Amino acid sequence: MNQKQPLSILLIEDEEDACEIIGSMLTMAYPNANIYTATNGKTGLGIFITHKPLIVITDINMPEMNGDQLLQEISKINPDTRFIVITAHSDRQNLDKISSTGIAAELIPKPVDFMALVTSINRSIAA
Amino acid sequence: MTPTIRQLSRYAAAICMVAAAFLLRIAIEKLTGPVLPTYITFYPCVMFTALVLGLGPGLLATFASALLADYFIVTPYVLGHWGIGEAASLTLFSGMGVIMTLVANRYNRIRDRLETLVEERTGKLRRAKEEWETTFDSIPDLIAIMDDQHRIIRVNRAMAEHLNLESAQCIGKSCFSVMHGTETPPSSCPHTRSMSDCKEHVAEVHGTSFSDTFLVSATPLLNTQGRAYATVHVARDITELKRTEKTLLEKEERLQLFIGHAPAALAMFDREMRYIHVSNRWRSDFGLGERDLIGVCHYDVFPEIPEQWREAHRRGMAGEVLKVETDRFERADGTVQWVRWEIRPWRDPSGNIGGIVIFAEEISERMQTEELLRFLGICSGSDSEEGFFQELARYLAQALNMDFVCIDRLEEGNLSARTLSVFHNGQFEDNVSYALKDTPCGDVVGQSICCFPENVRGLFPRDDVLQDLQAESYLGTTLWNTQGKPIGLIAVIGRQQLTDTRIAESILQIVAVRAAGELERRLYEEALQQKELALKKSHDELEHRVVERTNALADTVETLLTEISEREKAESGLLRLNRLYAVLSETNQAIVRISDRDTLFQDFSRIAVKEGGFLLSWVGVVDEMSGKVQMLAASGATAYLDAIQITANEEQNGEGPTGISIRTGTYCICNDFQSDPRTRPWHEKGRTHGIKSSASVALKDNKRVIGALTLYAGEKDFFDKQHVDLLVQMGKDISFAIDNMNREERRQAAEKALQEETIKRLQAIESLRRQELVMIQQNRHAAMGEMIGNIAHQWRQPLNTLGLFTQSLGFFYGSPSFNKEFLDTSVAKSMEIIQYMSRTIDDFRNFFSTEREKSEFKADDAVRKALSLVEAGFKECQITINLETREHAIIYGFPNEYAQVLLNLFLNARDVINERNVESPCLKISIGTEHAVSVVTVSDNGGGIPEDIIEKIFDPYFTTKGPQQGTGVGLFMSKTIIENNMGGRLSVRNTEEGAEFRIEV
Repeated sequence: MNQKQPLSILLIEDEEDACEIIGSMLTMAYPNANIYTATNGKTGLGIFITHKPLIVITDINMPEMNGDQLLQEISKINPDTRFIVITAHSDRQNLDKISSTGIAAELIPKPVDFMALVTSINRSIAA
Repeated sequence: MTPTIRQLSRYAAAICMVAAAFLLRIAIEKLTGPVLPTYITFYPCVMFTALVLGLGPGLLATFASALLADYFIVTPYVLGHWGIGEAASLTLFSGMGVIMTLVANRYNRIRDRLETLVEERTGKLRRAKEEWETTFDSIPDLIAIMDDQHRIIRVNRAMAEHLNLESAQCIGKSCFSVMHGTETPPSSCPHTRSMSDCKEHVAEVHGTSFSDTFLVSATPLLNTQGRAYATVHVARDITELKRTEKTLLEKEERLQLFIGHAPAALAMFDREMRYIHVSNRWRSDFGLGERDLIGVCHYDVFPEIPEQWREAHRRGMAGEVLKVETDRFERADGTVQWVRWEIRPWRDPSGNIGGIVIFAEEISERMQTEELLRFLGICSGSDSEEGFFQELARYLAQALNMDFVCIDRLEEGNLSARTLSVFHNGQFEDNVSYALKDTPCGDVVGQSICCFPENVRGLFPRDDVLQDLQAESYLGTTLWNTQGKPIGLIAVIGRQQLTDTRIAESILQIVAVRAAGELERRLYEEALQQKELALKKSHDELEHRVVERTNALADTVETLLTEISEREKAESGLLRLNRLYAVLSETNQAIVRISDRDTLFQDFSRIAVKEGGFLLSWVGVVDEMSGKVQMLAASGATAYLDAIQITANEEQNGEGPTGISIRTGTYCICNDFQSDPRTRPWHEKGRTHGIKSSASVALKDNKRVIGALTLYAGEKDFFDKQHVDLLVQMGKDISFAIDNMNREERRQAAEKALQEETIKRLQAIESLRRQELVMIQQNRHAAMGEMIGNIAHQWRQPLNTLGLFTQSLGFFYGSPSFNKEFLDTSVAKSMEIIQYMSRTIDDFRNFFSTEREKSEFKADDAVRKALSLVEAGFKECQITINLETREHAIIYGFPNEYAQVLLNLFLNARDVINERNVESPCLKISIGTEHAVSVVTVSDNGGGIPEDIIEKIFDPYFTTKGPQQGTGVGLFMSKTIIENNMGGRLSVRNTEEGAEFRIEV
């Protein structure tokens, strides 16, 4: 990991309110980091290509581009990317899809416990 | 002389011969001197002796000669004592003597044999000659053998006798002078010809008297050079034969004449059915003309002869005599002849059947005449004249084989005719009047008979009727009245030529007389009727009045008489039937009162004895298998019935009234029980109980005999006609009652069965209802599960957001951004989310609340409502929802139920999309109206419903999902809601992409 580069996090969440709150809370928690937010997968992928963030936090069930597809696209571009996936219990199917791609990802269940999210981000940074 | 003596004498003669030879030797020696050879005389002596006297004397002579010569000549008076020469001489002599004797013996034997042979031959020859001569003489034919000069060499006795000469006297005389008394041989003489060509010739020659006729044959006798030197001239007297032949010929001719002119059809046939004789009548009757029939086969002449006739011929050949009085012979040309025939075999002199004689009489004419007579006979008995003319027309058409017959009466001075009867082609036609001019009928009038056997159409070209009929022949006759004036005519027309006009004419003439009589009578009657009519009219009125009065009087008398007789009858009947009526009445009451069979029978028996005064009454039923009659009920002298045997079978125990009535199914009366043979098995028992008569009536159940009721009375002839009627009535009443009872039983059974059936049905319906309830319950559970899932989906996101708001409050607390505004915004947003969630719950709750009444609602609302419940789930499955509102439709019905249906369709679409992993899944909802009916379609792109189950998807319990997912009720309920509850229509079809459900309300 290049320590000199500032930490950058991409958050993709289709629920605007939730996206906004988590975004603002992440900005608060990591004041030196670049926090990017997107409300659908396509925008999220565009931001990733531009900024190459280290950590991608994404909802799994989204319009335009689903979580698993997004993960695959991103890991093609940068396999070192760390993923944190926000998921509901009922997203069993999508989870299976992700695990079948072989991409490693931290899982955060819904409703999101922000502190758990922070712990996951920290673990990802450390890894 | 005995053989021994003859033998001895021969030996003695030998001795004598030797002695003579010795003496001769001595004598010769005395003359010539002693130089003479010793044995010179002995050699011939021995030879002679052996030749003449045989072997023994020869040898004796040899021995004696040797002895004598030795003793007296060689050395005189000494025996033996020879020199060599002498011994040699002696030996030679002895040897020669023996040889000579043997040779002579041999010679003698040969001679003897030859002599015997010659003698035998001579004898045979002589006998043969004698035989031949005897034969020659005994031949009755006249035989002469003559040389080439006609001279007689030899004649036999017959010839000699014929010529009145001795045989010897004939020899050498010329035959013609002796036989024919002529100077030259007759020209026909076969002898001359035989002599010249050396062959046998035969000729008939007349003898001296002209009446004698001889058949003369001359056979040449040939010499070694093959030339004829004589002939054997045989003459046979054939005078008798000739005479017989002539007689036969005459007889034959007479027979031929006799048969030929016999007034009957006769033919004689040989065994091969070839004609031998045939009568002229035969030829004419069967149309054979002059052709030569003799030797021709009958079947070649008549190939149409039927098989049964051929069979008759064969039977005739076998010796039978056959005869048929009337027989039909259908000729090859289709005409029919009626014949009477007889077949007899004829026999040749040896008694064998040589063939048959057929006598056949052509009786067609007779048949026709008979037919005519019969017809006239019938008609004489007929009363109606109209009928007579019709019958006559029909008869003539048939008898003469014509196509058209009309019988007319003349009108208007014989210028026109009115038909009385027209028979054409087997049918009668309407009567008409027609003018006689230019018709053959016009020619007929005034003539007795008029006949045009052919071409009548050509002769009368203006007669349309003839043209129409295609008439060929015509026959007509006038009907004359007794004054000799023509009053009518009969015309007969045919399409074919009339061949036998003679019969037709005679028939027509005969019937004409009859028809004329009939017609005259009719005309006369008509005139008479007219006269009478006037008279009658005045008479009738008077008559009428008298009749009226008489009738009125007669009616009154009649009524009175009837009344009296009826009253009498009724009274006596009443008296006699009172009792039985009582029984009938009581029985009928019992029938009304009683509802089971056994009691009815019991009551009937009791009533019959009590009210009817019968000795005994009982009811028996028949056992169908055994035929035994079993007593069911009885009353009165029941002891009679103890151990009684009665059956309905055809045996002795079944011949009583009971058995008979059961068998026949009616009734049976026995008015003299004690002497009726039918009741024999029960006579004794009946006497004991005083039974004198009995009656039995069959009892029926639905037309099937089941038994009988039997009554016994103590009087003879108790049952008369009315009794029987009543009994039968009673039987019917009881049968009716039984029928009723059975009907009642059957009705009850049917009712019971129906009840059971109904209960079963109800139970089935109940169980079905229970199942349905269970199903509905299941459906509800499923729906609730579904709803809970949906609520979970709907709430997950807002809960997450709400949670984040809550956490952010704590997280930002103390930071510069945590201010009043931030707090207000957070609370407001939180409350918004909470409100939304609360609404969601309300929506769900409303959705499942049941509506009592129909109301108007917008289709859009219902769709949105249903969508709101599932959109979270759809979003999760990435299913695009495409809602298109073409028109705003108002629906009258139950909005929640409608929404439920929509929900059902949405969820089905979702399930199928998930199941089939469809690329870019899409649900399309379209709202509109068509013909004032709201139409909402729900279509997906899930690939559609397989065609083989598309018909079944609305059936209850039909599901394509596993048992965990589906109950198979959803679509069934949806259809029920739309179609039954709201009167709309729910249908489905497959589009290119998937299924399209269409709701019309």
